[in-house]
Amino acid sequence: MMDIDTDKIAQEAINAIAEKIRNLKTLNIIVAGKTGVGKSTLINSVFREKLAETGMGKPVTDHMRRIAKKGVPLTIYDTRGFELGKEVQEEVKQEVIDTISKGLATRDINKAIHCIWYCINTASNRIEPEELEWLRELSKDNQITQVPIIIVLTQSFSKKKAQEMRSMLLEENLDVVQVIPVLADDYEIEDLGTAKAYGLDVLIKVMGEALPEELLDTLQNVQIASLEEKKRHAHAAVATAALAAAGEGAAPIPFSDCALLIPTQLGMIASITVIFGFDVNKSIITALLSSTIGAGGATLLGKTVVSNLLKLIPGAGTVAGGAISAGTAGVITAALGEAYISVMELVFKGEMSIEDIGTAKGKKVMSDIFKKQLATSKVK
Amino acid sequence: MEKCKKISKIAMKCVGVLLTVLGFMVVPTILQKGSNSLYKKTIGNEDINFDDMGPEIVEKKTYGGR
Repeated sequence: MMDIDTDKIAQEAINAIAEKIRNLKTLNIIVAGKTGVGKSTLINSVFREKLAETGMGKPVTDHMRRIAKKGVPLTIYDTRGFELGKEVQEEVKQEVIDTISKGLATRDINKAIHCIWYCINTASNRIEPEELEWLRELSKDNQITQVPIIIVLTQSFSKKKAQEMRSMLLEENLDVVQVIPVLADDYEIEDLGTAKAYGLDVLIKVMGEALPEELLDTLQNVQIASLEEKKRHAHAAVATAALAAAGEGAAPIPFSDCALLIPTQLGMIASITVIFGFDVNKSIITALLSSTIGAGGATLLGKTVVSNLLKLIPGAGTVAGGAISAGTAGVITAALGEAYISVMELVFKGEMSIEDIGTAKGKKVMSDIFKKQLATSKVK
Repeated sequence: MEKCKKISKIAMKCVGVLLTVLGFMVVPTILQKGSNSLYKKTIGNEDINFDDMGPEIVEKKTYGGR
């Protein structure tokens, strides 16, 4: 019986993850609005690493600071001084347009501005006419550059006020992608209770629709607001990989299916890891592989598949022969992907730590889900 | 005969290695494009009910007076 060299495959997976992270495009967002509307709370609630801490960010213009952190493919341009009168507002608008134009001129997607969030505080109960005028003029100047503008109604602990404000803004027919009420943090309402945070998942979803495809991996990597969107993207990665694996299994070229399955499955593992944004080491991937495709519970056919697959890794041994059916390749790939997503979900929710994945508990979770997926697909 | 078998085994190994290397170069890009397109399609298919957006209010627990 062939032993499965999970250590070797895990190292290839780590290399694939590192490569994918290196190739992530940088997402650049301008966040505008008056001081005190809750921009920092919003940024820290949507994105990882608490970027909008006091003192972070370098001034890049009179009214804009640039917030970035090494290792995070995200840059926030935070505007300041909006409440200081019409003249300053005009300067801020010009700086926004100049920043957009400069980014476009580089023809580098990593330097272009991809989205503008304009924040209005719902709790202020009114929209200043100057703000509406500013938005109209910005939209006009943005007609060529076409950067998506999203109006975020912050501190929307009152549903009624948020809906009223949203309706008012929609009636203005501004050239914006959407008007989204959000509450970034739980809010205590005296004598009533706690208004729970909401709306951030909708913001991520709308961003996903508005951004170009090249930035979707980055968006999921940096956002911490929506587990559902991470899962949706991860499921898409699994579905694509399973389809590719099935195609590879059906290929008439001898042993091409075995050779191509390795990069397909490792590419899928890399995608899921990057989407969830956790720092994963080799022991975690080894645990994933050994508890799924390497486990004693895997089907005999699955083991034969894996044995054949491994024999094609340089130095692993002689070719045993036999083709993998398209169906089997697709099913095993999907089951592996779903097991990994399930454990990433537990880590995201805080029900398991990333280190726990390597323990008996983590391996059991992955193994159980993998076996369940195989059983559902009726692989014999 | 033996020599032929040996040569064909070596040839198969070489093809396998070449395909694996090619696979690592080409497959990740194809997977990324495919999954991003599929993701975009799935979000596009879902409507958001903005009119119903609002916070869930968790009531304060009140305790009997002492």
